[in-house]
Amino acid sequence: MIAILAEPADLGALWLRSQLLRRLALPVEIVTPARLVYSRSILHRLTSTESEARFELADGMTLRTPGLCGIVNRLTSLPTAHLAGAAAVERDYAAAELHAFLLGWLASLDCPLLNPPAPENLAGPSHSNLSALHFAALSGLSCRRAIIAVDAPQPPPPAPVGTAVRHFVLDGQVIGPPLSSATRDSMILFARLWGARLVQIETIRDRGRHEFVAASSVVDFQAGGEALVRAIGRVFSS
Amino acid sequence: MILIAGIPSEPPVALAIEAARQRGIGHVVFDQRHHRESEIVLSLEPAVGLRGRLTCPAGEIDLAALTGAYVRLMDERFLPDVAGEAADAPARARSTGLHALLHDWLNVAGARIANRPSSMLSNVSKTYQTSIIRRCGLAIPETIVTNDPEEALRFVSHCRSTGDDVIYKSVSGIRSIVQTFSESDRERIGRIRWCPTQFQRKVRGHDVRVHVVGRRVFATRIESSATDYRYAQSQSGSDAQLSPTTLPRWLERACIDLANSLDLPFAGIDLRLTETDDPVCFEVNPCPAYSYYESRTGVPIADALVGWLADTESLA
Repeated sequence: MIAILAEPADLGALWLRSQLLRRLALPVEIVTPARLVYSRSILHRLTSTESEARFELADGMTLRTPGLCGIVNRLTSLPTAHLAGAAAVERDYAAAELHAFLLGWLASLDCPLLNPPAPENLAGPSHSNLSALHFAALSGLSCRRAIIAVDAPQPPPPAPVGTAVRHFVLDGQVIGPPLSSATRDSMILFARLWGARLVQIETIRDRGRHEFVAASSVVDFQAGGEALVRAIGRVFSS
Repeated sequence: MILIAGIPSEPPVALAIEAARQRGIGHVVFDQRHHRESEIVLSLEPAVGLRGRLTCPAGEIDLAALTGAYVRLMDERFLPDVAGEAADAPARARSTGLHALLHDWLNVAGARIANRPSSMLSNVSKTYQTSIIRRCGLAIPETIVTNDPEEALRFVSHCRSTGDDVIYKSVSGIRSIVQTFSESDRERIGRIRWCPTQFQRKVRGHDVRVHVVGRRVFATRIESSATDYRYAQSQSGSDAQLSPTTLPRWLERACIDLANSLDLPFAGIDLRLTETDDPVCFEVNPCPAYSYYESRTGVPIADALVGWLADTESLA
């Protein structure tokens, strides 16, 4: 089975599920953060040589790792409603423990995982706008010169001239509208600096030049279309 | 020139400043308590990335001129002059902005940084670190994280059947006192249903704290009968005894690999050597309070740290 960890209203996740079901001879299941966290029984066992986990979900399903063929990870938030009655300090502690547990579980998986988690974000690396611009500049993507001071901390966004374009880099392969080889190489380098297997890169195209706007480890699958689904399918069937 | 960022009176920061002074290493101290009088301006240059200047009462620093930075910043939300302010108070927002820009630069700077704020996040989860510890060839204690009281009690019985106790502690980076599971804990075991909790087979032996600085390793042996030697006085009635020790070369290399894997050129690694001298690794502290160990053993950690930051000691 392939599990897509996502909120129930995540339309991109639902769309990806339908696409993967058409392409792969495997069940594909959406597992919401609430289903995971409110499991009747959770057990993650770690030794020097192995790691295994079992979630007995409230609806009777059992999720075991190893045992999954892959995971699409879009865990961007965790349910904490069950902690609402606790004192603030206890609630914060429990929320931190929950995040830590899931981070540890995701990091221990040996099945294909898009994306592996990062300490700052369960769904994969996340960087500030400024760090992203720095990576873009180092990668050779076009960036506007900017001065940022304490009292004006955000760099100005690029002026909305040209066409907004999205590209995706998955394991070093660029997916999206045609690019010059130099820009393609820049996007591959950017993805390496960003640190995720799958990255969405947004640019504004103006007279053949791509100006960097933003990037994310949580991607818009529909924008990537068939080509992105095929590439994801290859990750899970390899 | 190196930057030392933190509270200068705090022992690890004070030792680093003193070591830089004794070695004659050019250094500038960003006293975090002076954040209101400090300013940082960064510029984004195509093909170059971020450049900038930090201005504080100690002087104006061209960030590109720094060879390294020692970072021991406290959480700015708790700085005394803003802690009492409302979340949206201008003074608090400015402090947040200043620290965000400083963190941005530290996270991407080409200089030697001990340690980058983004890399220091790895200890938000001990079990996250565990996966990396194992990949570096180090053993870990048998561990479960569970919200199921029956599984927890089964694990306790399993460990006790081979004569071992079980300890429990936080999974996250929030500091908790390590406790041995006792009979009284059975009565409140149902509380773990609210949140998965970490239980570990207690490893018998003695603790070793390993400080990695670049490619140098400083190991300290700790003798204590307390479950958590940091609280030895309250747990066992006597202080822990610390002494310098040396590790086998393969173990030193594994510790260096582990620090590198976590992007922590300065790391405090917690090991326990079993009765047969087999090392078991618990966790890696990304911002080690090394002064506790240096002051009791005389091992020159601060000297090595500032030397590495000044690039006077080769990484190779």
